[in-house]
Amino acid sequence: MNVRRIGPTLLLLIAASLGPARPAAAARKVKVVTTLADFASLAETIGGERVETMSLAKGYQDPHFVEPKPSFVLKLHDADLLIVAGLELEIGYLPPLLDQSRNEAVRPNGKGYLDASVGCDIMEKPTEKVTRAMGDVHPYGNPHYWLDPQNGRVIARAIAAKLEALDPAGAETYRKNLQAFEARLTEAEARWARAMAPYAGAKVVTYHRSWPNFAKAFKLDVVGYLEPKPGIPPTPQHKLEIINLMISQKVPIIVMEVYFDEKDPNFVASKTGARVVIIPPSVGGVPAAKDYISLFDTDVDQLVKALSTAKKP
Amino acid sequence: MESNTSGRAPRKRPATRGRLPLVAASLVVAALSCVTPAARAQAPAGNVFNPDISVIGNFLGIAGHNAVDSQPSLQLKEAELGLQAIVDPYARADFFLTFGSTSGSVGVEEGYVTFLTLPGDVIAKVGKLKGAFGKLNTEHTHARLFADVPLNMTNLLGSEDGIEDSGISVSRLIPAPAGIFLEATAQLFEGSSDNLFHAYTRNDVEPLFHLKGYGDLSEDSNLEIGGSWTQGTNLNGPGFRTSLTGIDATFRWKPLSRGLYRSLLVRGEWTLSEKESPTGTVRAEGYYLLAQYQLDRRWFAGYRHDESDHADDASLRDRGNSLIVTYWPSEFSEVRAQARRNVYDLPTGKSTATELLVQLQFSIGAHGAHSF
Repeated sequence: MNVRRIGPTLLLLIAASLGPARPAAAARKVKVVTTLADFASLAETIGGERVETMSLAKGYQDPHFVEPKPSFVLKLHDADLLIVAGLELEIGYLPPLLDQSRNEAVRPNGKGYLDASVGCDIMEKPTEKVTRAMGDVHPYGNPHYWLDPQNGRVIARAIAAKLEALDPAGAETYRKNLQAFEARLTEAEARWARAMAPYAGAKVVTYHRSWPNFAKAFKLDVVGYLEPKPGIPPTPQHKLEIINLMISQKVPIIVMEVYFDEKDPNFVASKTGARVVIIPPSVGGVPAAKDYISLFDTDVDQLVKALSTAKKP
Repeated sequence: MESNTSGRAPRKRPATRGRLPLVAASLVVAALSCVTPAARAQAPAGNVFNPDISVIGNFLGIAGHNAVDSQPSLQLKEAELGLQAIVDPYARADFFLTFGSTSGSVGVEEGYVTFLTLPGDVIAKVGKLKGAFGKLNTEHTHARLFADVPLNMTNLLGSEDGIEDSGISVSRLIPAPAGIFLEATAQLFEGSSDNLFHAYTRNDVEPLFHLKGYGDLSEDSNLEIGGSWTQGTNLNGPGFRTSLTGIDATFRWKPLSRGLYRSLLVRGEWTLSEKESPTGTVRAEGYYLLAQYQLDRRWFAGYRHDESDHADDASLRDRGNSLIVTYWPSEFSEVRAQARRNVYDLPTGKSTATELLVQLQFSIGAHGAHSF
């Protein structure tokens, strides 16, 4: 081979393999990157001063469609812990980010990788063969499971255990913070249950299938979806079907995530007399939903307001 | 314009022996970097270790007259078969086999192993790769935002496929101010790409360098700038080289809370070709500029302007304009209409082609997500 021509390439190869660019892990905060703001909130609650959290998806963003920005590669490169929703929620953007992260720890099976779905109550696991004719169906079950506070408790425990493993010096802090969180959550659950009690079994239509765990936890009956199939925007024919369904079943509200267009729900509402309730499915979806508990405070508050004043179509 | 369907340069067998030491070195480095081998599952029955398989069909219909680039009226332009899996705790492999519209044309578009766990923040790829020359050259046909390729690619990078060759690629993150992503890539290819480079001897290897910089301007917008350089022996004969220099810039805007419905992408790529020939060096340049705006959840509208000198005669410059409308029935299919008017500059005079290209792309199976 011609040395003169290969020289520069070889030099670059050698330069590239010299010393790592990663700063030495001194006494510093545990860097936690999460795909969802909800996990970041839980990690912050449990980690307190010992952790630094960052969420790839914002609460006001559709968590299925996050762009794999190179700036996220840098975050993952420096991360000690990555918390993902799993169930293929992040399949559209996380794998290429992880491949470029040059961080073995946060790859699946790495010591800094946590799949938050493990141990959670996962609903809508397909019982038949999944095909894409069904729309964007997740073959391992519905990935919006964090919207059940009981699952939040499971996730918080998993995060505490993981943080303890990564940072044994903080074990006591993590345990204490977990206990405090669970106590606050239990108290909040009683509050939410009281607020929602008059509306047990209320029928709702939701935009996307984001709410099965929420509906189970708060005793709502989801009778239909504005999307004809998951991920497929409402068609005129389907809107007509939903209008008929809502009128015949006397459905008082349409629950919608903050990141969808209001046009279709408003149209259906105008034909049925139902009310559109736009609530955040994640922490940060609206400013009031600033952490995991206030997310449910916000959602429950909005639902109670809507259900208490809605007239049945 | 040189047609890319005729006159494929005869390919020589890759000079495997010359590359072996480097390959071996990469493998040794990869083996040494073993930190936490993934736990092996019990050998199960069934297909769990089979690769993810995907097929992407690219159907293209063209109406109108084109005296220079005469493609068929209807064609399954490409069927791309993707096979992707983890090799072992140290590497993953990606194969993309393409079946072209001309019967019997099957090719390995890319087929490489990626070592993800090397020390020093290095990622290495070994195999057949698309050269990291700008943005367009790295994209597979189905990922492009138009139904064709712009003139600077066909005129200066040889063909629609551009630089696609057997070689080794090493990329590393470069420390940069907070929030700036800077990545340097060095590649070494055998030196043969259709209509562009041809390795007459083992010495005719092709080095390629690429520097990519990226920064978020805000939560909703970002800017990416890249520079590329490569040099190989051209088809004029042994000893004649072509140097290619490229600059690319992409601005993206996508308001996160309405990201499903609105976005804007503006991209430009400029290419300079310096091609040695018996009569001297031809300095030819070209560029394209693309703007694509998302109108609604499933609708995109775009405009592209492209122009390029001929690599062999810089006094001839082709120019083109395209209006592009794209519709997504779902994430897995795409329909695109492109109204294109190209004015080809030929030694005999100008030739204008006004055409309508209609493209239908559809994907089945588990195709790995694309990087940004």
